[in-house]
Amino acid sequence: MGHELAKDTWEHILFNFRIPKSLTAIFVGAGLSSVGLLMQTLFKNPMAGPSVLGISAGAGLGVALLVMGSGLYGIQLLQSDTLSTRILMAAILGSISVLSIILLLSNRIKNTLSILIIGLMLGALTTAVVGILSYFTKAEQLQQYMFWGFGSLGHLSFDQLAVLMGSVFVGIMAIIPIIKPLNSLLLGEKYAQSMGVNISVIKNYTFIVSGVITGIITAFVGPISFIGLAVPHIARLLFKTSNHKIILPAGILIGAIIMLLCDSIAQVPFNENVLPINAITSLFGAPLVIWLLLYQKKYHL
Amino acid sequence: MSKHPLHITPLETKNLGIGYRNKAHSHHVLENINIQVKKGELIAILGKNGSGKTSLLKTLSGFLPPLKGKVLIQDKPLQQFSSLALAQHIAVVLTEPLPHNLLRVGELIRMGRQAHTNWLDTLTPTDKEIIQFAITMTNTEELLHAYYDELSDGQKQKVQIARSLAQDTPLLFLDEPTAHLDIHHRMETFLLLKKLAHIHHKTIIMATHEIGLAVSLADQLWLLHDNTINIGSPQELIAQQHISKVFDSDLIRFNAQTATFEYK
Repeated sequence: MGHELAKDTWEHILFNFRIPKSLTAIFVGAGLSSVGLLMQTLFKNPMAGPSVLGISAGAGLGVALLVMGSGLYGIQLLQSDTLSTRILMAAILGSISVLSIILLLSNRIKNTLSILIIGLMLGALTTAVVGILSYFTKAEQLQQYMFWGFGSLGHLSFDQLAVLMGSVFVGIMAIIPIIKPLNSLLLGEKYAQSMGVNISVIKNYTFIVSGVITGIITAFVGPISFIGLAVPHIARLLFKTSNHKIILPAGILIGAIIMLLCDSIAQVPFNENVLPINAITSLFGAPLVIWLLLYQKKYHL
Repeated sequence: MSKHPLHITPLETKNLGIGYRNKAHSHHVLENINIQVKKGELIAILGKNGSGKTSLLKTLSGFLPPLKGKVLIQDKPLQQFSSLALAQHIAVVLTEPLPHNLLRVGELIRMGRQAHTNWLDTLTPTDKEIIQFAITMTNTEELLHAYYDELSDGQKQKVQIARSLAQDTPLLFLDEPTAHLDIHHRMETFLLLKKLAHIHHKTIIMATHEIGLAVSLADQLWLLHDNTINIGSPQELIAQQHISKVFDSDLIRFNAQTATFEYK
C-alpha cells in the first residue's frame, strides 16, 4: 500500500517510546500512591505523602551534589547524559542517606508527629543546600538539574525500565504482609499496640519500604509531586473506606490510571514538545487537595 | 466464652511502684502495690483526678514500665510478653477518641480478632463465633454497617467494648468507660461489665469517677489516695470510712447509708 515506511515509523515510536513511557507511568503512579497511603496511615496525617520524610529532597540533594558540584570538584559530566547511571546512583544514595537519618532519629523519638516535622526540616535543609550550590554553578549544569527536577517519564532505557518495574513490584508486594497492622494503626498507636502490633517494627519496616520505593522512583523520573498525596484521598472518596485491604489495591490502580492520564496530557497532540510531568501532576493535584480540605473533612483518613 | 483455667491468678503485682521516669529524676505516683486479682471479678479504681488511676491501668497493661517491682500475668512477668502475646491476654478500652477514619462498625469489631488471626487476617469459624458473641453481648447488631465516626458517644463506647470482647482476653481494662455518657448509658455499661465478669468470667478492671455505681456494682474497689492504694469490697471500704476520707471536702460529704454524696 506504500505505507510500509510509515508503519515502521509508528511501530518504532510505539515500541521504543510510547509503551516504555506508559509502563513507566503505570509503575511510578502505583508506587507513589502506595507510599502516600503508607505515610498517611503511619503519620495519621492526611497531608502526608512520599515527600514528607524528605526522601525525595534527599534524592534531589544527591543529584544536585553530583550535577552542580561536578564543576566544583572538576568531574566532567557528559552534557546529553541527563539520566546517566551516575545521576541514578546519586539520587538513590541521597534518598537512602535521608532515610537512614530518619530511621536513626525515629528510634530515639517516639512521637510520630515529630518524625514528620524532622522529615520536613531535612527537606528544607537539602533545598537550602541545593540553593547554595546553584548559586555557584554554571548555567548548563543548573539547567540539567532543573530538567531532572521537572520530572520526566521518557528516556528510560529498557534495562532501567526493568529495574524500575522490578523494584516497584517487589516494594508493593512487601506492603501486603503489613496490611493487617496498618489497619490496626487506623485506631491510633495505643490501640494498635493493645491489639498486638509491635509499633517500632512496623514503623521501621514501613520507612524502609517507603524509602526504597520513593528513592528508586525519584532517581529514575525525578520528584513527582501530588500523586502520592492525592491518590489515597481519591481512593477513600470513591470506595468510602479506610480499610487497607480495599484502599491499597484501589490506590495502586487509581495511581496508575492518573499517572497515565497526566502522561497523555503532557504529550501535547500535534506537537513535538512534551510538557514537564511535574507541572501536570501539580496542576491536577493542588486544586484537588484544596477542595478536599474545604469540603471533604470526613474523608481525612 | 473464656477457656482460661480458674486456678491461675489472672493478674498479680509484687511491690509494684509506678510513675514516670526521665533522665533527671523519677516521679513516683504509687508505691508498694501488692494486688492479687481473682478471675471473674469486676474491679473499680476510684480516686480523685491525678491520683494515678490512668497511670496504674497503663502500667498493668504494659504501656508504662514499672519503676519498681513487677506485674505478673498468669504467673509470668509482663515484660516477658511479646506485643502479640500480651494482646491475647489483655484488651483495653481507652478514653482518647479514635483518629478520624472511614471504618464501619463491623470492620472495627472484627479488628479485635487481629491478635488471633493469621497474617492475611482470615476468620476461622471460631473467630466468627466470638465476634458474634461480642456483637450480641453489646447489642450492636443494627450498627454493624454504620460508620463508626457517625455514631453517638454511647454507641461508640459500646462498639469499643464489643471490639475488646472480640479480642477474647481473660483481662479487660477500661479507662473511664462511662465518661461523656448519660445516666441510662452509664448504668447500661456497668451492668454489661458486671454480666461479663460474673457470667462470662472475665476479669474486668476499670478506672471510673462513678462512685455510686462502683459501690453498688463492683466486687472490689481500689481506692487511690496520697500515693497509696486501699483495696477491699465496697462494704469494707465504706465501713472503714476510706471513701469519705478520700472524697470528703469542704463542699461534699459521703453518706454511707445511701452510698451517695451530699452538700455540706
